[in-house]
Amino acid sequence: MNLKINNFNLLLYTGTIMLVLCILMLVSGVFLAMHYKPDFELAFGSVSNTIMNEVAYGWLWRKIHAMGSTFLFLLLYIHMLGMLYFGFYKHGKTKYWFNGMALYFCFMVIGFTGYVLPMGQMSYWAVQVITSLLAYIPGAGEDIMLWVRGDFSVSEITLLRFYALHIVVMPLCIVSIVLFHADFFKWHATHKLSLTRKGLHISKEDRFSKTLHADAKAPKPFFSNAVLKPLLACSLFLALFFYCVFFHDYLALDALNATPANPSDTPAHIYPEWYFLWMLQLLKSFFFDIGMIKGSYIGMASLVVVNGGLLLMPLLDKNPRRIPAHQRPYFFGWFWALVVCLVALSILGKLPSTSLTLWMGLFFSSVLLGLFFVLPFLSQKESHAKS
Amino acid sequence: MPNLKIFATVVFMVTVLVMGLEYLPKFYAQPTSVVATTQTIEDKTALESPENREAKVLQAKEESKQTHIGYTVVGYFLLLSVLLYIKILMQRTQRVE
Repeated sequence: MNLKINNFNLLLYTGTIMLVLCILMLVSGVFLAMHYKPDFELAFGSVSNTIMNEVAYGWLWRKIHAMGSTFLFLLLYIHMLGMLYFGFYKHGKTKYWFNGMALYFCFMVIGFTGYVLPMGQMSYWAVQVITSLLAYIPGAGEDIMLWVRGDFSVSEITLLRFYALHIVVMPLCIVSIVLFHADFFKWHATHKLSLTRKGLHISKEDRFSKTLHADAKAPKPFFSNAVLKPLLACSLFLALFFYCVFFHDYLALDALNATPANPSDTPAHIYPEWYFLWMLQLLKSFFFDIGMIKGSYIGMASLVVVNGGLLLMPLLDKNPRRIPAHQRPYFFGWFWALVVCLVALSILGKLPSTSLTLWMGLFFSSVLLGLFFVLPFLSQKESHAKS
Repeated sequence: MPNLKIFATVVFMVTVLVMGLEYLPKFYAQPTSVVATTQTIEDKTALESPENREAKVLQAKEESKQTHIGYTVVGYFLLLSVLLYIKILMQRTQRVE
C-alpha cells in the first residue's frame, strides 16, 4: 500500500497555518485584554500575577499569545522567503507581494507594541532604545520620537498609545490586509457565481467517479486537496505549537523580562524579541563614522535600504521569467546568501557586543546591504545568459 | 526542489536559529543586574520559609495539572492528524480502484 501523499508541500500551507494562528492570537488576546491594566505601575503585576496566577487558565492564554507571536513571525519569514525562492512576486503576483509586505510591516508594529505591554525590564529598555532610534531620522527625528513616546521618556502615555495600537489599530489593519492578500473578495464572488450558475460545479458523483483516474488531466478531488491537506498541515502544526506552549515556554517568555521595569537600572545587554534581532544588529553594525556621517545614521539608512529592497523585489529582479531559484544559478546563490545573512545577524544580535561580534556583524550587514544593490545586475545578466 | 528537501532545509535553518539564539548566549558570561540578583535572593529566601511550604505543594500540583493538560491537547491534535491522514489515503485509494 502506498502511504505517500503527493504534493504535500510545506510552503503551500504556511499561509493557512498563519491564518489559524492569527485567529488563535485574536481569541487569546481578547481574554488577556479582559485582565490587563494599561498602567505603568500596574501593567507588570496584572500580567505576571493576575493573569499568570489568579485568573483561571490565564497562564494558558498568555503562553498561547506569547508563543503565537514567535511562531507567527517564524512562519512569516518562511512564507516570505519561500515566495522569494519561487519568484512569486512577479507576473500577476506583484499585488500579493506588495500587500504581503504591508502585512509584514503591520506584524512588526503589533509585535513590537505587544512586547512592550508586560512592562518588564527588557520591555521597558527595548522600547526606550528603539524609540530613541527615531531621533536619527534626518530633519524631524527628535520631534517624531517625542510624538511617538508622547513624553520625553517612556512613560504611561507611551504605554497607552502602544496598547491602543496593539489591540485596536493594528488588528483592524491586519484583518483588512489579510482579506486582500487571501483574495477574499474574488473568492467570495467566484463562490457566489458557482452557486448560481450551472456547469461550474462538479457533482459529487463526477468528482469521485471511478473513470476519473483514466484521464491524467482530470481534476483532482477538491475536498482532499483544498480542505483535508491544509487541515492536516494545521493539525500537525497545532500539535507542535501546543507542545512548545506547554513544555518549552521559555522559547517565547524571556527570563530577563520576568522582573518589573526599573528606569534606574539599565541592563548590560538590551535586545528585543528574536524576530527583530537582525534589524537591531544591522543598526549596531556600523560602529564607526564615515567622514561626516555618523555610524548610527548609516545603520538606520541600511535598515531602510534592506526593508525597502525586500518591498521592491518585483522591480529589482530584472529576470522576466517566474521560475524557482534552483533553476536560476545566480539568484540561487543570492537567495542563500540572504538567508545566511539574516540568520547570522539574528544570532549576533542576541550576543553581547565584543570586537568579534562587531566585526562579524559588520561583515554580514555589508553583505546583506550589498545583495540588494547587485540584484538588478545579477538578474539582468542571468536573463541575458538564458536568452 | 522536492518537498522533502524544502522541509529538511527549513528544519535545518530553524534548528540553527534556535541553537544560536538559545544556547550561544550562554557561553558569554553576562554581568548580572543588581536588581535581578537581589530579587532572586529575596524570592529564594521567601520560598524556603516554612510558611510557603504549602504554596510549594500547590505549585507542584498546578504544574502536574498543566503537564496533564499539555499531553492531552498535544495527543488530541496528533490523533486528529492521524485520522485526517487516513481519510486522505482512503480517498486516494477510492480513486485508484
